[in-house]
Amino acid sequence: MDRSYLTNKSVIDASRDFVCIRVATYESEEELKFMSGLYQRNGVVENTTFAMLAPDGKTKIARAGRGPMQFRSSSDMARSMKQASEKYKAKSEVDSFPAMQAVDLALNVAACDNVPLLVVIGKDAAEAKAIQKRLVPAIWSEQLQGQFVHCSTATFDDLKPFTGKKLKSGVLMVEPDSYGLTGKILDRCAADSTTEELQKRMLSVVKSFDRNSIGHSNHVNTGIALGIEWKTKLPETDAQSVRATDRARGR
Amino acid sequence: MSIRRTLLFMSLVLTCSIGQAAEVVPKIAWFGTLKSGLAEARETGKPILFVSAAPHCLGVPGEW
Repeated sequence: MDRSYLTNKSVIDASRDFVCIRVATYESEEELKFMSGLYQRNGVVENTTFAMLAPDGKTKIARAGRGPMQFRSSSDMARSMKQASEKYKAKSEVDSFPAMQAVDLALNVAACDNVPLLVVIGKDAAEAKAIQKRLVPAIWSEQLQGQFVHCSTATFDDLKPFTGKKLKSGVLMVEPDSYGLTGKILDRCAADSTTEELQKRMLSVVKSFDRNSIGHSNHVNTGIALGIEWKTKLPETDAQSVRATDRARGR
Repeated sequence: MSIRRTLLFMSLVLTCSIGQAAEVVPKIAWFGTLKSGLAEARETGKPILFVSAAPHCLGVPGEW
């Protein structure tokens, strides 16, 4: 995934007037079908897809492709985004819980992003929704937007990968391990915590979050040596990536 | 005299460093599913920035 354009300050500023959707490729049929309608190469969806769309989710407002490289620079991309947000002015602000589809996927993505994972655990779906509602103003506050990967569950077993004291219901904030397979609980908030309390504790976790990386090559080589492999829900269709993976793993 | 100056300097440095919170680096705020993001775009009227990527490299998770 692009690490230059999408971490640029002017692009981040411009993104506040967009709904930013990032999905994991090969984890959902519905999402893969959507991507195949945006961009394919040699008739298949590749590892990465990029698009800018009108609010209808269909009209392209920039060329779709593998990444944002159609823009000469991040500034160029930010300028294009600003023009789009002038044309499509927001009629309201974002106010829903931006969860990933599953706890294990969210943990992996949090590791990739090097950010903490926020987990809502409810004794049932209704309680999880009520907790999410209280979290939403905190999540979308100026300081906290983009600072966590989020997920929600009403299944206690989904918390198995985490070490530390768990809650039957409430909010957990978790530091992913290097490979996003396990996590250490950094803080926990009761199910009836107020938005103010949640926001305070989330900010504290973000400010003290200090997770080191061993570098991309070391990470990948060590992972291969340890036999660690992520199984996608759907078959990968990026032939170059599949060949490279097979070669690296001696298959 | 120099010990007093050293102690004074150290206490000034300590005072400056206490209460200095780590800076929060702004990041893009992502919706994690297509369905929720599309619904939000329809609701808010905001345009969409769509990205997909594989959260693994050569099959190893934890790195894009």
